[in-house]
Amino acid sequence: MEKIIEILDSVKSGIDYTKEKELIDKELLDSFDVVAIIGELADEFDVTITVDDMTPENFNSVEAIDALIKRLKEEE
Amino acid sequence: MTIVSIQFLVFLLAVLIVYYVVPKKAQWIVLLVSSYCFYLFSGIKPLIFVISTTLTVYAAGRKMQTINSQSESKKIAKKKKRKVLLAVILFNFGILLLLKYWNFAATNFNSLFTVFNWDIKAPLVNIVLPLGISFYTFQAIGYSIDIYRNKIKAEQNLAKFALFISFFPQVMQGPISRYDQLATQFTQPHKINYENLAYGAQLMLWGFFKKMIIADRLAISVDQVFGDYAAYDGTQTLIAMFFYAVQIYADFSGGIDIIRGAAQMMGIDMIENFRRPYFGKTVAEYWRRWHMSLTNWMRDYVFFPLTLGKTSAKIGKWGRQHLKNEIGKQLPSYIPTFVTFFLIGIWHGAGWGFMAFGLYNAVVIVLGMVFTPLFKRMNKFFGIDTEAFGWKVWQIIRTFSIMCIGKCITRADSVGDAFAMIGKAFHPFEFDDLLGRLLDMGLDEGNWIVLTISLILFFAVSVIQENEINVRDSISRQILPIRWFIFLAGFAAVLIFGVYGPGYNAADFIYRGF
Repeated sequence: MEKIIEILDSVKSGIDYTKEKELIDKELLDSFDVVAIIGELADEFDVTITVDDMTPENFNSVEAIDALIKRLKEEE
Repeated sequence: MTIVSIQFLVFLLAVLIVYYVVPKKAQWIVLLVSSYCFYLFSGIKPLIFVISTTLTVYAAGRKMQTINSQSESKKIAKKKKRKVLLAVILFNFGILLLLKYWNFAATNFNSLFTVFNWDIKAPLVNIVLPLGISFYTFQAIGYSIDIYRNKIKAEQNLAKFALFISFFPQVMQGPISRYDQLATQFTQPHKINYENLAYGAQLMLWGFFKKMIIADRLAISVDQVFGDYAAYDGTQTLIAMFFYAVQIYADFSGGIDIIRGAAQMMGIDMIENFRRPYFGKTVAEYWRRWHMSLTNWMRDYVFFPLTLGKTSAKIGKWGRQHLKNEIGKQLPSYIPTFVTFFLIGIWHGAGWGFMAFGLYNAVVIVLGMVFTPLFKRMNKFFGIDTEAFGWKVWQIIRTFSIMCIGKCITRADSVGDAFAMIGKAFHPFEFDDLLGRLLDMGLDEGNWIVLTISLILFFAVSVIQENEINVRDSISRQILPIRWFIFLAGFAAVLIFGVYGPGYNAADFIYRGF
């Protein structure tokens, strides 16, 4: 989780990622931020995030991103 | 039949009566029959194109669904489905390309062939562009891609699918709806409901206000200045550019309000297409608020697939390893941004102006991303409070000015004319005999007064909405006489101050032509 928060913070700072649960729905992160985050996640966790995973639910919170990474790792 | 004609209102009233009289199970059939009747008003030929899209996309959806259930693995299923998806995209975008873009391409190629003295001539196509083809084709392709991605299940009933493609309020100028948001609503029972009828009628009235009192009035001045810009000075040109930006917004969002209002009267909630775009603080934010159904379509079906492709992944990896800064992280977005905005540009029409408009937006967005770290440092250095109200107002004015320039490119007769106008507008604002020069722009004193009051009202309502206050909820809390006064005053205003052309029909919507 800490690593995910670090990545999110490096892409866009000034957001309390531990509390925020609607990062996409509230437009705190935009498409460009998400693309940057995906690249960092791919490097850090060695997972491939595809276009099918690009739903707001998967990126709305740190927990959701964590769950996505775990699911992708299980599927690989 | 346009949606600002008396015929449309009569047609809508007739549909509503039948819709609420028939058994609830048959309501969607009323909508389907009325949608096809509505489309028939524009002729039988255009209907053939709607039917061909409906049949091919429906068949492809069913086929992909069958592949899903019969394949041993997801991977195999996806491979098989990809072929079906490609075929249906090629067929439907092929029709769109042929009807909308072929003549533009052929004319330019023919000019090129003449320059080289080659005796070749690409033939021109002489078919009237079917009503709303860009809107329903994109909606249909979005549906196909969603099935391919297992996001939705294919519709089994051809008639129900035909309604999703042809639903009459939206067929002319969108919004580009998503199947999972819209189609399920058609088959739900809809009881007659005062709130839906009242809110729907109010939204339609607001749409008529924006379209007929503001947009069509501004059009008089815009047409005059853009048609002969050499005869006007820099200040008048600047005002005309500002007018066009407001005109196209009032025109398109007014149309969408009429469409959403009509749908709401049937108990159907259509997706939002505008969220006060001119309050956007950056160009990227403007696009998240303007014609949202198109930009969301482009984001989901063009931008994300491109940024997550193998090439972008390699570019991204290289950027993160070698640049080790914010640009490195953003690198995979740059080329997809250009592609996406180029497509958004040409979606509006075949012409160099639309291409230039798309690329202009991409350049502004990418430069904004590249220079963000520098801007942040500058703000820190100068001690600018970026959360201050004044700073936000400046950002809004800056973004609006950038969009005024962009929209001028699409409205001018040529890209060259657009640059000439922009160059003229950059002269210092001249106050000498301003009143006289304003009255020389096609609008007399009376029209200026109506326009000014209307724009203040439009702006005030936008500010209220921006503060998340629902205007219609506020009206509904008033006592009955006040509610009716507001409604009747609005109705009278449209009747008295609306701009009516020959035959008492309002001017065509700008986006209807897209």
